Amino acid sequence: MAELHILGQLAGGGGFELPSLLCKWVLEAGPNFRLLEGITAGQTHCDTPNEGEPAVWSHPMDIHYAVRGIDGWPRMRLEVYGVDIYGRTELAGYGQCTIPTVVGSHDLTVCTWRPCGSLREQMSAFFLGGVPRLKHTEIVSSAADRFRLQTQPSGEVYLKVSILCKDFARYGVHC
Amino acid sequence: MADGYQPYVTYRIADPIENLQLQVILRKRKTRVSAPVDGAAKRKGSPPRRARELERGAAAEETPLQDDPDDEGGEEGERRAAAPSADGAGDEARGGADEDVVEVARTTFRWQTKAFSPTEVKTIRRLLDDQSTGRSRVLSRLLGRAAESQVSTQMYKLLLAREREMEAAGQLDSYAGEILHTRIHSEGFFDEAEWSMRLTTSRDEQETPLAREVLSGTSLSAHRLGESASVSMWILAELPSKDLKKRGAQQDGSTFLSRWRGRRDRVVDNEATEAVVLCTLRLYSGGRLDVKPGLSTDPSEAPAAGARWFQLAGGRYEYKIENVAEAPASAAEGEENKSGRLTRKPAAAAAGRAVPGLDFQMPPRQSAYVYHHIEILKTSHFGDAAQYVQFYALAADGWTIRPSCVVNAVTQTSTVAGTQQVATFGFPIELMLESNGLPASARPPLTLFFSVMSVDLWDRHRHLGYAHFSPLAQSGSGVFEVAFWKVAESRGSAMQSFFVGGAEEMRDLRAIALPDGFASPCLNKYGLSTDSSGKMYLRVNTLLQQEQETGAGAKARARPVVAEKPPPAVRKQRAPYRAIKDAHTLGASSTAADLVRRRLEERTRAKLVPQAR
Repeated sequence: MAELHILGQLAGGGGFELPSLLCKWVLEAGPNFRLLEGITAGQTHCDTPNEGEPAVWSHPMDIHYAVRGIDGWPRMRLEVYGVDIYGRTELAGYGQCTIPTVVGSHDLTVCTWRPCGSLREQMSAFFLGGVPRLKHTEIVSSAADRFRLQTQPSGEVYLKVSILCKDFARYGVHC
Repeated sequence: MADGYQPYVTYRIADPIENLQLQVILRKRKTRVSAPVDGAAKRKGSPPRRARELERGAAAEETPLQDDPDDEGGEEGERRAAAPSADGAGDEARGGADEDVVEVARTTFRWQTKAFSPTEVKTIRRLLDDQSTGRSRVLSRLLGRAAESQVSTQMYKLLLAREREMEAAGQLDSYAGEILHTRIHSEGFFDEAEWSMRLTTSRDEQETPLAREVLSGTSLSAHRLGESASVSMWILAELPSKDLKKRGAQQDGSTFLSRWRGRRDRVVDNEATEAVVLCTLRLYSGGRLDVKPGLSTDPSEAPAAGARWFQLAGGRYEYKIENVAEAPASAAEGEENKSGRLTRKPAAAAAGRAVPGLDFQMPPRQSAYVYHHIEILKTSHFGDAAQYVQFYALAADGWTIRPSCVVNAVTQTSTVAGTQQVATFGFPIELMLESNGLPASARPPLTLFFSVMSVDLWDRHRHLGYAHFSPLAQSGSGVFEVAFWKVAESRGSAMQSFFVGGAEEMRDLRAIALPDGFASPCLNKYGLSTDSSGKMYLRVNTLLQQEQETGAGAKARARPVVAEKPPPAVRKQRAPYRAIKDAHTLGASSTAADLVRRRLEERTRAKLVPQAR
């Protein structure tokens, strides 16, 4: 059985409209990946960056999988929330990214989006808060059709990930 | 359907589908009123409603307040649905001992076997009575039985056959229907909750025109036109409506019609009931079986992992779906009893060779697995209108895309932002390819065809560009920029596009890349006039898997294959992946430059031979 180590950190996020940001993350993997050690979900602290600078989370990750096949490679699902000046917590964006399949260190940039409502809802969200959210966040990392979903671009999340593989070459997997 | 988001789970059938035996167990939690019912509905013998309510009130007094699901509200139900209980056998055993968990029904279904609900049986019998009494169809319609008149003669025959079976079995009672029943493919059924499901909390989200047509009943079977060829079956449960509603929860479906349909509860024995879909099965060619929400016991997992119980809306009922044919067969049972086994797609590689003593899926000998995980990050410079991307994947000759992969899809519609007109998608495409023996051509195993389309304020769609992308069959990660082009517009078509909408389209997207089966040495696209449009950014992660050949035997086998000295790029490979290497060798030896050089050499030799003579 091969093993996969995912080390790194949720470095930060930028380009969002809200001043203070936090991020919820979940690492999903297929049935071929069995968690040996580590935590596959978490939430960062709420960071208020200086103006024009990205938020800094530096949220650590250290996950160890036992691998039975290459199908279902882990992917990370992100939900970014922001806190405005009135203390209201709002959705800032959803995003997802695949953990790189190549051994080494990687700097990833995850583009995020969020559902956009009607003009009335946008006005309501501006004055009262409460932007539309997904009812089922599994849609973010699903490859199924999303033709009914209307979204708008949001900011970016920065990830620093290092990948270590053990015994993959033994099973003919080149990574 | 089960509460919460439930995607389809794909399985591969190792045996004929007729051997499939799906056992559904429905149980009710936190109540002491329902007596266990085995299979057929025994509603006639149940106590009156008032008495049962009193009995339930007494039970609620005995149990602590926080244990009463009625007091938990909708949020608690959703919380439980988000994490399906995996208590498995232990919980099931507890179900027998604990009075708070009562098994309501347990039925085993075979593929395309019709089981009737109590409502269906009553409807069919009423129609038979109407025909015998001579009541006209017009009168039935006036009495609000328009839907009932759609019951086909096939249903009559199936019901009669079912009654004959009961008579043959010695059961004198007439067939009253079953709580757990089925809808088969020929009935043209559709899951209303699936079509009217809302993805976001936005009020702006509306049903698609196709969904509206289907849900309104004007074109009940029209939606099948766009579906891929599959045979469907649904397993439903007819349950009291009051048990399925959450306190304070809003019903799905935004339109008046869907709300009205949701309230249109059927009445059986003076008690409002509602049919909820527990499981949807879709069988595709090639042995692919999609099950929603999946089997409770994953064949690829250890039995000790336990079975999942899926929860219905309202939080009172939960159910389990298992393939009985998957149960371990005893030694006395023959091989035929072991049939009907399902294999989860990732475990389907067991058809290949497994390394003894190790549990890693290996590809068959002389073939390779290529695993692409592609993400559509964003598009840029496509204009100001909201955009979406549609794609489809095509495997080259000698390669097969696993049936569980999504080969064509449409992303969400994204508005653009910034001066670069960036639209963000973050859409994953996961494709796993398997080579059928050694590759026969030098082409990359996968080609993705993209089309970017825009939607304007008047809901007019138009093509903004086409592109194709062929990720290399090499392990690696990277972000790629794909440039798009669109068919050039004449002045007339540009005006038509501006005022009326629409744009020139490609009839066959395969013509965007190298056409399938193209063998000519020159691909001439001179007749096609195009304009450059925007760009798309893709993040690609690729993995290769192939058995490593070691020892002198591998070298001896590999030697005659390589006719020419491989180019430096091939020699730099870190591992001898022969299938991929052969493809590179083929590609390196069949270029036009090589052909020209060989012909020149032949001509030179032909000139030299007469001189030598």
